Amino acid sequence: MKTLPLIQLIVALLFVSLIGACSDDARVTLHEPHVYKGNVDAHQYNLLSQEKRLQQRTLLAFTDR
Amino acid sequence: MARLKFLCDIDRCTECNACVTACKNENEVPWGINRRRVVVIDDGQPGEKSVSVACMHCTDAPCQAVCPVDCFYTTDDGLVLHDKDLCIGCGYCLYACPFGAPQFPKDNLFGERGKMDKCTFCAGGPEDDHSEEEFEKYGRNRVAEGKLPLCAEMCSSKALIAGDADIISHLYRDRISRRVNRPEFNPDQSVSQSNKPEPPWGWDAAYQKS
Repeated sequence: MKTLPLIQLIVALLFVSLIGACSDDARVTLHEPHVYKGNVDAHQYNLLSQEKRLQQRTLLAFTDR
Repeated sequence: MARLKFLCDIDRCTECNACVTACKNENEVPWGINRRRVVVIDDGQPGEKSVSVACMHCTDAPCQAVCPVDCFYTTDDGLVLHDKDLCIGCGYCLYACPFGAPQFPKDNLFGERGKMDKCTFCAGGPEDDHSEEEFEKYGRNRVAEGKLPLCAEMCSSKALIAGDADIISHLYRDRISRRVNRPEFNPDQSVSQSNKPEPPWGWDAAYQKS
């Protein structure tokens, strides 16, 4: 007689976990054609400050001969 | 905004493969992967040419167009980079690329293809700049340090040049305009010659033929 509530509890837990497994995960990334959804490259935000440095570097590195 | 490009001067490349070695060493590229390689045309024949090839960071990149998971992105300075966390290793980019730039590790279990690896113009990838993750996945981020790719910077004959497309195209145009008068580039002398003085370098200058 005492085992019956335990079985009921296990069944209830299983039911709740099964229902929970059907829920949406917020981390899922839905694919859209030709849309990049990966990590954002911080490099892109420093471009203006780098542009002059890279141009000077190009002239320095390749114009000596 | 500047567009960053590579240019290989085939009349200067001596097939020393130092660019290949520099790339592998700087980015600690795994065994079996060559992000850059030197292709030789008419090897052993008189007049053979060699050209150093890697990802050309195409303006309309075919790898980007065919990727089924869209793991590629183009930065505002024209670099075609990719996110290895999204890549599924299908290999479509390899079939699409006319330069054979995408590379795949070959040491995985059961011959699994693994995540694609390619030249990043030494600009890392979509991880924090100079982080351990970025270095492990994509190699060193020299562009963030204001430097250019090491393969080009250490080329001893300055055959491989990299940087702002406007500047390197101007450099190459200047080189070509000085070369027109040289006999090895104009053997039949049919091209009209300018009055520019001959540059004091090259085989013919060394052997006093010009």
